[in-house]
Amino acid sequence: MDTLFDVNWALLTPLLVLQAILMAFALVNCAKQEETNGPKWMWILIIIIVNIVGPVIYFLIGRKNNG
Amino acid sequence: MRNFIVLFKKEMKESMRSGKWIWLPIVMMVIGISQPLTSYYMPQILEMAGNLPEGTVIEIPMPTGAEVLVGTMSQYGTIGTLLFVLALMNVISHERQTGSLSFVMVRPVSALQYIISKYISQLSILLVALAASYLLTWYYTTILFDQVPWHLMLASLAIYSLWIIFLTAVTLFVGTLLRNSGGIAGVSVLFLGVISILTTLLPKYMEWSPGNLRQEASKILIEGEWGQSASLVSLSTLALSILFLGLAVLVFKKFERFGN
Amino acid sequence: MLVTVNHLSKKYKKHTAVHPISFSIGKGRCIALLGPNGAGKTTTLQMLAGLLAPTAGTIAFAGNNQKDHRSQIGFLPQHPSFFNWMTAAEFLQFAGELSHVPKKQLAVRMEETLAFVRLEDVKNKKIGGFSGGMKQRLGLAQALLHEPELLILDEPVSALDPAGRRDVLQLIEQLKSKMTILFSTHILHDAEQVCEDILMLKDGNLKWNGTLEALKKEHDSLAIKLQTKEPIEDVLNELDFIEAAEYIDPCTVKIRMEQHAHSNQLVQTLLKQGRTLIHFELLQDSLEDVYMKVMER
Repeated sequence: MDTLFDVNWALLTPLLVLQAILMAFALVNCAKQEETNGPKWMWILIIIIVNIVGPVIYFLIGRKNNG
Repeated sequence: MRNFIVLFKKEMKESMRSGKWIWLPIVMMVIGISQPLTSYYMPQILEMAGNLPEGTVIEIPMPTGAEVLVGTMSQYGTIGTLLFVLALMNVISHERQTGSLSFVMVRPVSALQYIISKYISQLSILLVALAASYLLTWYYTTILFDQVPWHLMLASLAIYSLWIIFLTAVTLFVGTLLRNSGGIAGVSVLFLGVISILTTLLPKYMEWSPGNLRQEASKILIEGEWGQSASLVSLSTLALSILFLGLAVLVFKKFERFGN
Repeated sequence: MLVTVNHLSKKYKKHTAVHPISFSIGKGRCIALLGPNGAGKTTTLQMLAGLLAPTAGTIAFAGNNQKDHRSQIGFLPQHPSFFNWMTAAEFLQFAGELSHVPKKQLAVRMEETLAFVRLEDVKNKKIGGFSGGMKQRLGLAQALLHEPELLILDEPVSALDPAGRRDVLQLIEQLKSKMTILFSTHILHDAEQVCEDILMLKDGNLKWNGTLEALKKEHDSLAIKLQTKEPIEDVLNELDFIEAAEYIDPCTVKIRMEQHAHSNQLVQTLLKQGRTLIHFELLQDSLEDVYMKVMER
């Protein structure tokens, strides 16, 4: 457990914040979307569960109208 | 020119609304700073991951800042390239498939204006994403390792940007040839991959190849100088990009039907 | 003449969508391009609009020697697909700028057209949320925006419900005085309501090119249905102005003749010959019948 306390949070926080922004942005975008390719709940799960890659896949192929 | 500006503004607005201006830079930044962070925490990561016997001492030489940036470049070369091609695959095909292209082409718009507006607008998003990611990564390497002089950092960024210029031209060109997004991404990635592999396999015959750009950027970081080969590769990459854009315009002109 | 089309044709690898056709469009006319589905209507209109390259033939606009006449045309595609992320006003702004409408004029034109198609209230709403009828009206608005000389509408009412249909037809009616309109439809009634000229297309061939009036006249020979108490065949055989007679039974007959004027003569003759007239009916060909006749030619 010691190793975890060695971690310098000042360094890691920006990374976590970026990931959080990405996920939140994808979730908001998905919620606003009128139609998604496939069920919306599936995309929401993908965005939440699969870190980074989930939101990216959603932005690339999840939406119907704007590419 | 006027039509180019109108189309360019529309592209920008579209990328803004679709969120491309936000998600693409963020993802690139994550890819970028993951490299210095994993390099820095490598001993801890190994310790946690491997069930090493008690008392094992892990000795990994601390890499230099330049080496970390070279590693980042290699991430850009693989994941970054794939990401960028995927972000570009729909740019023309989507408007063709839905038929919204006919609302553009029914007005006095030329193929050149259309293609160039797509090219410049998409390229600017990708370059901003790349630069944001690289600058942040450079900042991290400065804190965690040692500082790479800023002019070398910028020079390496400039030369690697040429790969993006080339990649965008290739993907747009393939985008005029094919209608299916998956096909467009597949063919573009395949083409870019083959060029990179051939460049490593046949260095003698491929001095001009854009596949050398990453190595040239690394050379600048490690050796600290802009060689003659870098200039050659830069020029040939620019020429090839213009060629692919020209081909894209020609193919677009040959479209028998805009929209469906 | 505003537009002269000469031997225009379109061939795809396997089939010919449009055989060489020639026609011209008079300034200020309203023309319907009629034909069943698959007749080549869309192909023809897209070639006129500059969206599809013809295999052969020419399209000439009066007073324009250049090949590109897209600035003189307003076009509404059959299935308009918009940029759904734009608002209606943004889309019109974009379309107007691409057509080089001067800035001040564009602002005025946008107000006018949005009011004309009655979309002022939703001009700042995203197109993605529009109904089919609203999209069709927005499509019409973008086609009119730059005040084109020729307005080309591809099946403007086919996809609409009866109310939307009447809406759009009324809009077309109001536009007739301002510009030349060419629209395609597979519904005869729509054409009859608003158009004065008719082009009929079938399997890529031009079957009729002329005014609606002429079409009615040319193919509308007079038919009369007669019924008498006694057999009448012998009487009719003696009359030389009768073109054709179709007997339903010995006492009932449908006849065709050249002119209305002869109908009196017909009745007189019958009475003189001592026949008792039970039924006399003038049968007018409906436009439907005329249409079928022309198409089968």
